[in-house]
Amino acid sequence: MPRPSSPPDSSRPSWFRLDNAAKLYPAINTGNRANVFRISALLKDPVDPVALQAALEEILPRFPTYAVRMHSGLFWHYLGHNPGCPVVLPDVSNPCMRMRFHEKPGFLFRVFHYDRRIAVEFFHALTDGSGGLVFLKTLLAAYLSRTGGGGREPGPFPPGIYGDSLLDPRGEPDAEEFEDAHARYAPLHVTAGRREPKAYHAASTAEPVHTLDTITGVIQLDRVLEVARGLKVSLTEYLAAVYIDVLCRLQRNELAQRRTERTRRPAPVRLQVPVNMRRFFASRTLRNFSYFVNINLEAANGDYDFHEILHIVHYTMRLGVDPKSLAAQIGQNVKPERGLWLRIAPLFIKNLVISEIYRRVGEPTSSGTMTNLGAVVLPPELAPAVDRFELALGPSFLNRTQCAVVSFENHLAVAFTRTCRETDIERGFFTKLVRDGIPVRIESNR
Amino acid sequence: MSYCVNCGVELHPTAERCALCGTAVANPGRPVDDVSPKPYASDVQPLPPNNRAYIAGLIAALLSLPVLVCLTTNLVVGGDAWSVYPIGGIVLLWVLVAVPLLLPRPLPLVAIGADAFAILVYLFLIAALASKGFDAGMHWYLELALPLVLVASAVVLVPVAVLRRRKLDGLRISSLLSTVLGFGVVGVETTVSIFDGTPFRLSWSWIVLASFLAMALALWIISHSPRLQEEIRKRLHV
Repeated sequence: MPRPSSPPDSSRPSWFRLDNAAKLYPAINTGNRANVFRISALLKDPVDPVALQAALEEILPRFPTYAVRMHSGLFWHYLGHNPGCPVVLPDVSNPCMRMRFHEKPGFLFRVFHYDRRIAVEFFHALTDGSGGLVFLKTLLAAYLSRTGGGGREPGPFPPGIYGDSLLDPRGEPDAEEFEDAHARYAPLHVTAGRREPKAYHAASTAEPVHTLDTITGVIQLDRVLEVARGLKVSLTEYLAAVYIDVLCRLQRNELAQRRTERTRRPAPVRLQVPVNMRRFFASRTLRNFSYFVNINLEAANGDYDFHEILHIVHYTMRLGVDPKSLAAQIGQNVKPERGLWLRIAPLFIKNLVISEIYRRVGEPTSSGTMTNLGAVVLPPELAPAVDRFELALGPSFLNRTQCAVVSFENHLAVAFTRTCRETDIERGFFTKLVRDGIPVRIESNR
Repeated sequence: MSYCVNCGVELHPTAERCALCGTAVANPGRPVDDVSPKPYASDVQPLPPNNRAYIAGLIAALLSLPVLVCLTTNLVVGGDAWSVYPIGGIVLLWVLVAVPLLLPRPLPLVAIGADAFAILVYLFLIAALASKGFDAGMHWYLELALPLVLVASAVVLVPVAVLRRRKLDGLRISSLLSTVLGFGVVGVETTVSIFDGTPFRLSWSWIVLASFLAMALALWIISHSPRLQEEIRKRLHV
């Protein structure tokens, strides 16, 4: 029986408002749009589930914003304290499935184990990739202190390994870790308009609901960095350009099969690249604090070759991560929730409005998502026990294939998750890397 | 290690096929490793119970309240079995709304069939309780209500069945709908004519059918001719 997590005391809030970004997710939570992501660590040794369960029970009180369940208020959803602790489960071949708020035990994250893998899945209303990574690293430290690994005997780690990105489970949660950083950094009167026309969506055949196929390309980081630097772009820019190039080719092939000239008009190809706002706005929040840069390619202008795409991606990314324009984007997102009329609208009306807005102007405006969590750094005491990290995005409705990237030491893991049969995007992506001289090893759950 | 001969990527030792293109692994020097664990778990997470069934149950629970009120009032106050009308209507409403929720996947033909059946049952109840007696009610039901519901169901079912099998563009869908509606109108006049007891003879529905068929033919021809479509766009653009 899992040990209950600490009850809320006077120093910790007993409930939390959803942060600005999180308010969207409960309203659009469906089987084929789960808003769940998974971060996993592949260890060098098989995982001991008993030690993992004990590690989870040890660290959960340190994360009060994760020991919660979703509640419905009259006007907003909120996160209320959830006693107990999730049970560590054997891993499944259909990851990132929808989380149902009213089913027991009601936690908004799950922990899985399989062979050498520890995987944690988060409902996006709880946190973003950076917050999730802090949780996984803290879980890893607690687990490895019990089991040892990487040539180290079991035993506590020195306090010096803990910090902001790897929390000490014995420490006390800090108020800044609970904060909605959007509210802190949203300028009062500056907002950014963002009307985007509909983008291209690759044609695909849907798999049954509750299916998520994963294809992960494991790549040597130094080889791909060498290629990216040779092209004078960053790793993310290079991978984004490859992704957009594949989408452009797919669209060209699809349009060539259409019969009339009118229906052959290409739609813009637009890739959404999430940006960790903590890079630009100091915050130690463990909740959502990321935005995205939209890389837009006007496919109607003509056929772009790879170097032209790379050029556009490079400058769009550089312009997009300007802190002032990012702040204006936060302001744009925060503005509606500051309005009185939206705040006093009953929750069921808000849910209807939010899901309809997202259905019309959210998902249709991008052709895909490619998120790069960046390079994971572990203290030298932990790193030898870990082989690599992986990140995977859950099911999405219109763009059935999504891409997530994370690196650790010299391993870059590029994971494509899809809810369709076609593997054209993954194949186009990885074969392009191979043509560029980058060896790729493929692993899949199918 | 094995590589896909088609994609050039290295494959996991346990892979029997390339995950990217499906090409079978053919490496005489290193057969597929079927002992080591696969890179990902193979157990499927059981599907959570269907939430839609819960919603259908919730609607049933909500609708049961007026049903109970009507039934109780009818029993206490007495009189004719008037409560059959509102209760039948409520049950009909439940079938219209809840049956699509109870189906395991979208099955429009089944849902439309269930709707037509529920409407027929409700109309049968009304006919059976008709004030002019059972025989008069059955005459009205069998010769007017039943055929009209069947004609209306066919008008809905045929396009849905065709569109589930074939993907048609807007012009062809309009052409199909025109054709079906034209014949539906003929069905209505035929039914009314038989019910009236007048000699069977089509009059006004011929005109409607001819108009609909002409429109359907025109739309079909236009849908096959990009040149005509361009000409129409040129002359009618706004």
